[in-house]
Amino acid sequence: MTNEKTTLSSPADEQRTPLLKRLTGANTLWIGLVLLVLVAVFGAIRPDAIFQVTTLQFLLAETAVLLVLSVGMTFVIITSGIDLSVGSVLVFASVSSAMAMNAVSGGDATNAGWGVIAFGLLVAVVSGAVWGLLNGLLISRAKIPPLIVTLGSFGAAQGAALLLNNGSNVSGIPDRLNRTFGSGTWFGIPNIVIVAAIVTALGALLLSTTRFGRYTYAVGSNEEAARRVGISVRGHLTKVYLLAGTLAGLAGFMGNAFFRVAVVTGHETDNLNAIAAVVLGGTSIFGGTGSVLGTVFGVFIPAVLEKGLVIIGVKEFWQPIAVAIVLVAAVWLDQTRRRARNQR
Amino acid sequence: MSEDTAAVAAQKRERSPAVRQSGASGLLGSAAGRNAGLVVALVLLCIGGVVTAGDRFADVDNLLTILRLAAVIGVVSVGMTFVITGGGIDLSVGAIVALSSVWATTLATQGIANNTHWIVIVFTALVVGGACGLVNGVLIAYGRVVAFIATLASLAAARGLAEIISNRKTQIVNVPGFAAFFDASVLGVPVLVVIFALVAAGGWVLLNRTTFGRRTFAVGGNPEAARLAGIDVRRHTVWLYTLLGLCCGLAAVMLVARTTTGSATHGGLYELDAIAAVVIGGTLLTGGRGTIAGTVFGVLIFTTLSNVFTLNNLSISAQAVAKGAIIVVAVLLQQRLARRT
Repeated sequence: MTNEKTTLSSPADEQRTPLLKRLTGANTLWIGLVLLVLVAVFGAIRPDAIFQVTTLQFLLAETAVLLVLSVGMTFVIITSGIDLSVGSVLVFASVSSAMAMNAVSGGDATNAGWGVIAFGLLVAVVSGAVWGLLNGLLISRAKIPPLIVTLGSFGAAQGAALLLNNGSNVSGIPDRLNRTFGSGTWFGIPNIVIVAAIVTALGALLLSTTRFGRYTYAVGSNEEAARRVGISVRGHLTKVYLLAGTLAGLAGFMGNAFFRVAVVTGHETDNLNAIAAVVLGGTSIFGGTGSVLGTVFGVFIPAVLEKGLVIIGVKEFWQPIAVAIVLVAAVWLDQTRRRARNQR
Repeated sequence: MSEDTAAVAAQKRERSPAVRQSGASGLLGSAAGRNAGLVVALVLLCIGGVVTAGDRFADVDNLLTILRLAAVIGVVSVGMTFVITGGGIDLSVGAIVALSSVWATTLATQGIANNTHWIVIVFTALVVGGACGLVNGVLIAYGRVVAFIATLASLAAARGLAEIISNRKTQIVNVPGFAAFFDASVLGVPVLVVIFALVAAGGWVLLNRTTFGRRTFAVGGNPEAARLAGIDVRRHTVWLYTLLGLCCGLAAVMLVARTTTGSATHGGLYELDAIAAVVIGGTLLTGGRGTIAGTVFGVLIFTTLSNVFTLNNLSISAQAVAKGAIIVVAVLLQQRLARRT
């Protein structure tokens, strides 16, 4: 009787790992420290400029879009996949949503109401989801490597976005949208940041507390084993890319709100930035491990570094080099640490 | 000695499936078969060009234009074939092309070139490209940073450095001998195209007829087995990335010659173009199988496609869509064909 109880309770105990611990994971604490050190160093050099409300507001708002992209990318990379198309899908969703809003308000949506804005959001999310679904089906059903599929949709979505509006930016974003979500704040926090924070929190919960999240890890660490324990690997992969596409669509809409224009260029390297953020955050490029919180740190490390370097007056050209050094150093340290742990 | 046995073993491993597959038709037949889809695609594209654009397409000058455009990205793609066959990937090629083009066209370099010989420009670009490749290789092989991340970082770093050196200005080349040499033609064939042909031929020999090539297949197919068989996998990996770096340096020279400028914006998205060409050519992204001929066809297909589109006044956007579709469809077809045999 007692024996039965212990055998029954031990797996239950295992499942009840504290939520915070599951959210943070093993690697994230360390990368969070790097971020803290960066903030501390820049703060010590120029406390007056760094800890200003406007500086922080700007830093957060500029990073919000990339954060949403990176949350989706975290899921994809944990399945040991990759998505190069997120930036292009973002542009496509942003352009089609802006054009849809203009179309339903007779050519110019600047003074449009909430109904039109909701429609624009729907268009952005759906068009992102369609690209994500296409990626997912080609990867899971047709068995084409993710790098190739998303390399293809990287070009195709960007091209399609340019075709939609003959290659020019789309203006006419509703003022109301920009005022509330683009530039509005809530207790000093930009609303766009709140949206990104909510998406991130939901993503973190989805990854660490739900069956969907556990399947994501399972598929990434051993696809064959996942299939044999009865997980529909194809279905799950399709859903993960669908999620990444949907979030890219949402990010496109957030970009519209923030910039007041649907911009067709400047997102060519979003994919690499998102991947860099995810990997910096301790998610293994080989799949199976990773966390959303780590990705949050990974997004902010380059952002803080760039902002900090500008403020202490380093020429802007040096920023990519500094970011590159931090990226390689972080990944190298992480891999060395992991190898040491595995050898033990 | 042990290395040679390993190479022989790798060679046998490499060949045996091909022999089994093709049976009586022999090795040559199977090689042609592998590229048949690409040849058909290229022929279809050319027919499309003749039908839609007529004489403007089927014109010697136009065909030479296609080849001249294909030459630069072609040289990069040949190098990329080696890296991908060896189980790696390099995202920094476009940035290395930019950095080499900028470094080779600074006022200082041009001054030295004018005072001595224009070959200084070529030499500088090759050294810069090779050095960048060497850094990539060492980071990946000895630093054991994942190739994807290491080269992603050097993409950012090399472009940043190119911007620092050029101060984001376009540097115009004014070295008479340099321009004269690269604008010339050999028996009607532009020098750039000749260089591309030489690089492709050299790459084919290196990959298929030398120990270096055999080791590349072995390292890409199974690095642990290659190591146990006595191949110095790390050193070989460094060589592969250095070779690609040199190719990027050469591509930078050709790009500088074609545009008469060096700029930090040169080579934008070359990494994706090169990877696309290599992969639709039939080289496995997971390593262990690669083909130079396929890569050359891949480059020609994309360049011809964009030429046909341009002749028909179709926008770059439409090209991007078609290109994306072609990449996916080509790989899909290849997989179907591979499964059937």
